[in-house]
Amino acid sequence: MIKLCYLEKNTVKSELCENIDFDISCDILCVGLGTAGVFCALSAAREGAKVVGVEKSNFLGGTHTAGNVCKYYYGFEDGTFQDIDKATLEDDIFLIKEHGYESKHIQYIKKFREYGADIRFRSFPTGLYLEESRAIGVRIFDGGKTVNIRAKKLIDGTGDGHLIRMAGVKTFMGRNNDGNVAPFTVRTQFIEDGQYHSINADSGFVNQYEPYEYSKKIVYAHANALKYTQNCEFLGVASMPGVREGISFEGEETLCMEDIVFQKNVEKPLFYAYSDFDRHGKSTALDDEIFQNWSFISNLSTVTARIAVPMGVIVPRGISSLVTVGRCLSGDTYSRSAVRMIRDMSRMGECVGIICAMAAKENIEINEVDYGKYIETAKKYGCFSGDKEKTFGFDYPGKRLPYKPVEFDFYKNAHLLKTETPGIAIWSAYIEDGVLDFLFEEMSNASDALYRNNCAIALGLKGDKRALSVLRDMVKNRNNFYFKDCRRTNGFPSAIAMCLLGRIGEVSDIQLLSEIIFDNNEPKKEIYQNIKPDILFCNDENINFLYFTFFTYASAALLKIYKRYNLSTKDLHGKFLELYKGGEVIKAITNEAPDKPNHIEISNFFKYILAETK
Amino acid sequence: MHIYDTFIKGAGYSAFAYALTRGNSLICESSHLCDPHFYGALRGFSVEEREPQSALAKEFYILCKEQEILKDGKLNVAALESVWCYYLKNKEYNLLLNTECIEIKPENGLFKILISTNSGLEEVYAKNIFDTTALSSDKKYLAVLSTPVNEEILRSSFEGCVYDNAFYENRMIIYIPTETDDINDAKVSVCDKWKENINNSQIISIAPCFAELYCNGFIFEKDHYLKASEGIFTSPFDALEFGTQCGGDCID
Repeated sequence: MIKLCYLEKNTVKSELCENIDFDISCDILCVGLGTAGVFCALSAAREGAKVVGVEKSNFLGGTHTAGNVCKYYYGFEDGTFQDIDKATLEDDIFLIKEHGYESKHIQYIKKFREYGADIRFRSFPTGLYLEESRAIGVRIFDGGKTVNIRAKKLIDGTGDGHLIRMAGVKTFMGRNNDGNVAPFTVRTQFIEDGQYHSINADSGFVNQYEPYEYSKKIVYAHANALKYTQNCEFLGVASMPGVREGISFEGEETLCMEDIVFQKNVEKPLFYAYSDFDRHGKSTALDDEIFQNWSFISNLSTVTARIAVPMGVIVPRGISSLVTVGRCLSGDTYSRSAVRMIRDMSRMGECVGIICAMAAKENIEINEVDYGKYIETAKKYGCFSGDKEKTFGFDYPGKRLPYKPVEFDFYKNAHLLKTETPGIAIWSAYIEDGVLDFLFEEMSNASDALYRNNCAIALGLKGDKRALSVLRDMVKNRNNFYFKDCRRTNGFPSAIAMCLLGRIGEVSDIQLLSEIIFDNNEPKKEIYQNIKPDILFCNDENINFLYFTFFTYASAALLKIYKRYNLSTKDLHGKFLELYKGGEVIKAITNEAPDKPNHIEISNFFKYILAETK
Repeated sequence: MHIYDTFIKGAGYSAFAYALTRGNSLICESSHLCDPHFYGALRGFSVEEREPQSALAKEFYILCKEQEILKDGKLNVAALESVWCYYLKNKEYNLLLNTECIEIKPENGLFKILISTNSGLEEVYAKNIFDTTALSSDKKYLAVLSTPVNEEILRSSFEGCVYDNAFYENRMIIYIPTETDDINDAKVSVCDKWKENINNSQIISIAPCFAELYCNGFIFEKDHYLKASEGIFTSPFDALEFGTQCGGDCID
């Protein structure tokens, strides 16, 4: 029995179908031809599959062409994307050469003509046909009429998990604590002094599955581009927003931050990504501990990782013949943020196209494909590159150069604890057994405050309460010093100490943390004044980033202690509510209007705390 | 069940003016832009500078002058949508971007409209329809923003093309008629011809929307259904005036 499944206001509906006359039959139907989908459809067609590609807009390439997110371009080389890039660069009719979106789009069209795929623009799915648990076709609204397409393999390249959601697969969004996703961006383009620029404006959090909210946020974001309309040749805002984070779903396998940083063995990688775990948004106090340990406490956001992405992350559990490609995959928010870059998405698309074409040819599922043959084909085209690289490397601040390998050997790195760049040593200590006493001894005997504090952080990160006295001192003597080995999320040792107090602190620490949060004089202190915007930690003049960080980390820590000791949060709730309603804290953090990203971040934080203390 | 006074197809200036004037309307737009007819189609670079009559159009006109995107009879179309969004920020309206209108049909004295958003299908009801989209029979043009091109070469390369100086110095906007309804076929064809025939000029951008340059000017009103494509206007201020007028004059 075949049933038609569709979404109605985010709810899955279905109806039984007696007879379905499919208008088109093909091997591969790829719905969504964005950064990943376009390479998926191309490579499947190249493998000889009969491919139909469906795209909602008039453009191929999605975020990296129509969204103009084109400069974040690092990671492993090789793959068909390089051929497209080369042709784009050589196309001399366009003024904007490197990563020129218009030129790239033309190259894609020509490639599709060469491979003979049926590409349908202004078409989108309105239903999914399931036969038992097998996906067999899609109902498309195509140029004003409904078309039913049957395919051996269906690929959800929408980024939004449109088909996955229609199939009724369990989905997830955002991070564990508050469900927040990475902010979306709007790209503004202009020419200044003869040079082409495109600016990335993070535009706050948006629930892309709430269409009214989503639309309003886009209007706000486009309005913010106004500041670039004067004093340059303004070329406009990109015709689609760059949504960083798609939905996750219950897959056959899951990609987690923890598995990446602890190098879990992946039996059958689909492809290798390369990442610096680039996650946007300033509100890191509510990140999961594992991500905080890596990015804020160990301050390793310039360390890149080779990520083996398991094949099962694109396979929804319980549904056959349907896979995803692109940013919608089964994984936690951090790992999905980590593997969403242009090159990774392009190479992933190419790999998915190859394996789906192989599976369609033999009428089997992708996990039944001869893995050796798949690797052989994928390597032939270069999209399986990166398998021989070292797992971790160092990316120079802001440069995104090819990495030089990093080894997390504690005793080789221990000397870094004496420096302003202790991240690699802190992480090395975190993953090394038998170093607690060494760290305690060094901390106790250190005459130098920097060394003592770094040892305390390393010790506290491992949950050792012997670090508490130093951590408390760090919080009491809080200052604006920050580690220097990081590109964006520089860890402030004072905030790190607050974070660790939350994890291992005691009831007696409540008073110390409360001072930071509830003392009206706190934001007036000298440390928060006249901080020059510094690209190394936050180049945003519209936020007092230090106070924001201290406030949020102290609040999150306080909440943790309350919860760990089962204390009543009733009074705490009242105090936070008063702060929120009073508006003074928000004013001290940002002068922005309520619709702007910084204001939204602190408001969201308050909402989380208020909900958790209620 | 919420019943909108009017369901508006297309998020152009006349659509917003109508909605802001009348209230209780839902604007539905397939792209991510609030201005698919001017910025989206790169049209309207030359406008007659005269202050509009309606308060709404006048307010936006003044804002455009203040923001210096309107001067000496030239409109900075590239910046127009951002200025328009800035204008809209604090206004009250209902808008769905990235939303397709699948079907409109009369039902029990109302219109039942099936739309597709990122949350799936949704039925909405309205008493009236205001359709600002183009007619499918309208001749399509591809708009190309470029560095200056020799006019003779341009005319011989792209028969029937219309061109104008764009807002910035040394920029030209060229509207090239196409034989196809497929924007991508049109793009490839234009790029190939450009490569063959045009030297010393480069394309800066091609309009993201495949639009009609001059609409048939077809306006009709029947049974609570008003059809008036934004494409009939060559100035966004005229479109605002029209939308305000329509919103004020009940179509029922």
